[in-house]
Amino acid sequence: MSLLLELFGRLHPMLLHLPIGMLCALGIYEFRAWRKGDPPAPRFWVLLAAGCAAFTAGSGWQLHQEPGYVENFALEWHERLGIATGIGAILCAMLYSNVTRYRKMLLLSVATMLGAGHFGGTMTHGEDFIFEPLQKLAANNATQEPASRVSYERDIAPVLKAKCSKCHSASKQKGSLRLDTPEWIRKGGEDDGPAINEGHPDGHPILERILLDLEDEDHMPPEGKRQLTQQESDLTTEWLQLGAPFGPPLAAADAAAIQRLRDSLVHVQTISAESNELYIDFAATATDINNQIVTELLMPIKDNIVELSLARAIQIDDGIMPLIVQMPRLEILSLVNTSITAASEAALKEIATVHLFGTAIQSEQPSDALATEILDEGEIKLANTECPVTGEMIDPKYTIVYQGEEIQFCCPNCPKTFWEDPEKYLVAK
Amino acid sequence: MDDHDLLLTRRHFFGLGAAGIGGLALDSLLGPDLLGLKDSVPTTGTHFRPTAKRVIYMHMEGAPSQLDLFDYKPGLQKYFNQELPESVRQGQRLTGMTSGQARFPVAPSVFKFNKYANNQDGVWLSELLPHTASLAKDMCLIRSMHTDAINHEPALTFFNTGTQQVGRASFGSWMSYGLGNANANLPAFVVMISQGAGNMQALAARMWGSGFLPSEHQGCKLRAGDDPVLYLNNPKGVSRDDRRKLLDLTNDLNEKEYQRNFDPEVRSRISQYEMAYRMQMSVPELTDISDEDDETLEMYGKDVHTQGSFASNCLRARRLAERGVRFIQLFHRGWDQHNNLPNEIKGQTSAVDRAQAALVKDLKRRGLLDDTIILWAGEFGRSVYSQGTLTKTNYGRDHHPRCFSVWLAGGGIKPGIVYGKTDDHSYNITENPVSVHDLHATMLHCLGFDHKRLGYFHQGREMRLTDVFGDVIKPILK
Repeated sequence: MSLLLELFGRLHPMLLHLPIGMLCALGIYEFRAWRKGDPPAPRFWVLLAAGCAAFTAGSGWQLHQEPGYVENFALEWHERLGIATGIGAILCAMLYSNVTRYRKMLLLSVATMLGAGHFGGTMTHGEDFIFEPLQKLAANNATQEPASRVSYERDIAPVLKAKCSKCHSASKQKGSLRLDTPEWIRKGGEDDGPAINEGHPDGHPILERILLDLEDEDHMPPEGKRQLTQQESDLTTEWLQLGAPFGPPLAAADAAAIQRLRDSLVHVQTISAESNELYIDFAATATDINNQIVTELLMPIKDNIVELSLARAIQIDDGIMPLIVQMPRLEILSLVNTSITAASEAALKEIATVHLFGTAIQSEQPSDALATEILDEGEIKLANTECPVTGEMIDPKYTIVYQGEEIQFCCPNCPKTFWEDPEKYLVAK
Repeated sequence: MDDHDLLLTRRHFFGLGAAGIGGLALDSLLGPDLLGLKDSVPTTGTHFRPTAKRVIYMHMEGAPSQLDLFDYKPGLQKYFNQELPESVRQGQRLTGMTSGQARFPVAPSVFKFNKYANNQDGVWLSELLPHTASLAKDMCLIRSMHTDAINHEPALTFFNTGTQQVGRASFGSWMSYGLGNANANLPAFVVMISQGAGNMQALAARMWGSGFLPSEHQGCKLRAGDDPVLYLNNPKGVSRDDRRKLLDLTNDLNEKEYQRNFDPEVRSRISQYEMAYRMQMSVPELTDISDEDDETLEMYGKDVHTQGSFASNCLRARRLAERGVRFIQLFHRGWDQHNNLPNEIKGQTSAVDRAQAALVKDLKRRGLLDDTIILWAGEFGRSVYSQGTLTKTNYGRDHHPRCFSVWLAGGGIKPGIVYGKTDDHSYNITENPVSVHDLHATMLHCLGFDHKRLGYFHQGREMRLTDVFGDVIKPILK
């Protein structure tokens, strides 16, 4: 029996559309009949509507008996108004003989039914289901949200496989380009070089191709081939803006360890808002720290460190290297003015950028000489600033051309004097 | 509602606005670490990975002449003493200093220019800057800067705060707000001033003020002399322990006051007391240059031993940079050469040339140029026509906002390039104009910020350094 009841309850989502339709139809019919003075709808339809409404309310009640419903405002009012609609519809049928009362009751039932329907819809589809598209429009105009983390393996590789691999993979390499592994993507093709600008938010040739107009002949994938969907294009953009990270998303560093660093006046900063990679600077306490202190502080977060400055920490020496070599992501390391020696040189070669000024490894002397190559020298060549005849300031109004060169004078009389013996005045000049 | 409740609501609102909408500096504003000796830097700051962590901004106050230093116009020599054509000036407004002049005679530079090898086809620079010329392969020279203001005060305010009206937050205070400091013992924003040889204009402290930002973000001025920060040292008879006890008590009282009225400025005060306490230790160490080797001192020139000189400030700037300070601003005064330019400008360039070149090279060898943006700029340019009497060897130049030259280096800026062109008279820009907002947006970009998203809610709207303007100048980025 309980199984049958359960089945009855489960019919609710299907049944509920019948009374909605019928009560609405009756409402419209009776409104029109009332305006025109026609008789009410045939009793059969009123009875049928009442039956459907009662069944629906009943099945809803039964469905609610099942576990799993969270009591909330929408559910409570859906139930109340639904039962009210069921009762209302039965009353409509009972009051049928009195047309005025029947119609008033019908109006009430339609009203409660609309309310019940609204809350029912809220329960199944969530609030603002209908207006969601409009909100999306508004959201697009609002400030851009910080990007969430994208994974190459999970999000990007499938896109590349689906949309690019036909021409750019092991089977075929148009433009000598393969996009099926990180290594090939880094290597790039003959036109653009590397397809990505790893570690940078922009300057990715692959993205420029994707974002070109479809009509542009450099656009990828070519016109006529399957294009990236908007979502795929957005994901790819997001990934590239993060600097095209191939590894799995890095977990955030241990918060307690970071707090310990901060308490020790060590500067800790993520390299950007979305990243878990860290920049660590011992600037405030450089002269006090030693290998042991730094190792203890940094060991718990070693995977997250990409930039580290130990500059001016005179007590830091080769003993720091066991820690340094355990930092897989370390890209920039400053050991300026530390006591590091040539013994560490080989291990340091593994790191992209190492600053070693003021150490035993490299103590580069700056050249104070003006070591710049002079390609060309300008001339100070004022045509003549003094009148060749009188030695007064020239006035550009009185200009003549002599042997292809402009000569200017102080007054209208001097050119005449000049012409009498040009060589004399030029020599004098 | 009595007055106090009104105040509380208002302060509450501002406090929440600051933390909620600004967001970036959440930790440094509301974090629990204000009271102790703790790093106040937010973990999440920048919008994307920055190419620069700090800025050294050398402001040449008074506006150096682009015509005599950076913008080579050999063709001008044949126009000597000729009237500036109206087709060039196009009714440009003039300052009160030359608007009454009967003539606007062209004054070509008396200085020789040389072409130095850079990473393009070379750059012409004046003989006045021989040391700076040795940076030709590191510097990005912009010849197409322009500004809206024609007088010093509004132009300085514009360059430093992004608007000509007073009251906004300065560039350095935005950095302090957005990034915090990499050294908890020093302020994030430090200002130093050196006096020039020529005509000096007033220089107001609000150029490094914090405007609407919490006041701990304002620039801290380091003075010349034995007392770089006034009243920093304990008075005679007061020990450091006594000072600590005094601060603990004051901070307790201030914190109680904050709990009562929620005025964020109360917490600013607590953090400033704490900063001052830490600076009692860190500043003497910073300004004591006895640990610098002779060869380094030699690089900066003999002026480095004169406290308050530009050279001395350059060396301090390097020491601040390596200690993690975010924004270091040097003002060198005295570039306002309305008359007697050829003589006065020599005094200016001899004070800055060697030292600024040394600063860049010193940063470079320490690996600091990679993530430090150097900006060298005046607030506007100078006119091609002479102010006052023009002679063969002497002239003056009036203010000129339509084009001037600035240079940048390091921090993700493309090295060894020239960007932008001006016309034959260095009067109008003919190619790639760069506004002050563009420059700010570009520098913020290098520092990891989308200039449109670094904001602070104030007076009913979100304020930003670039207001509603500015484009990142991509061609000058690496």
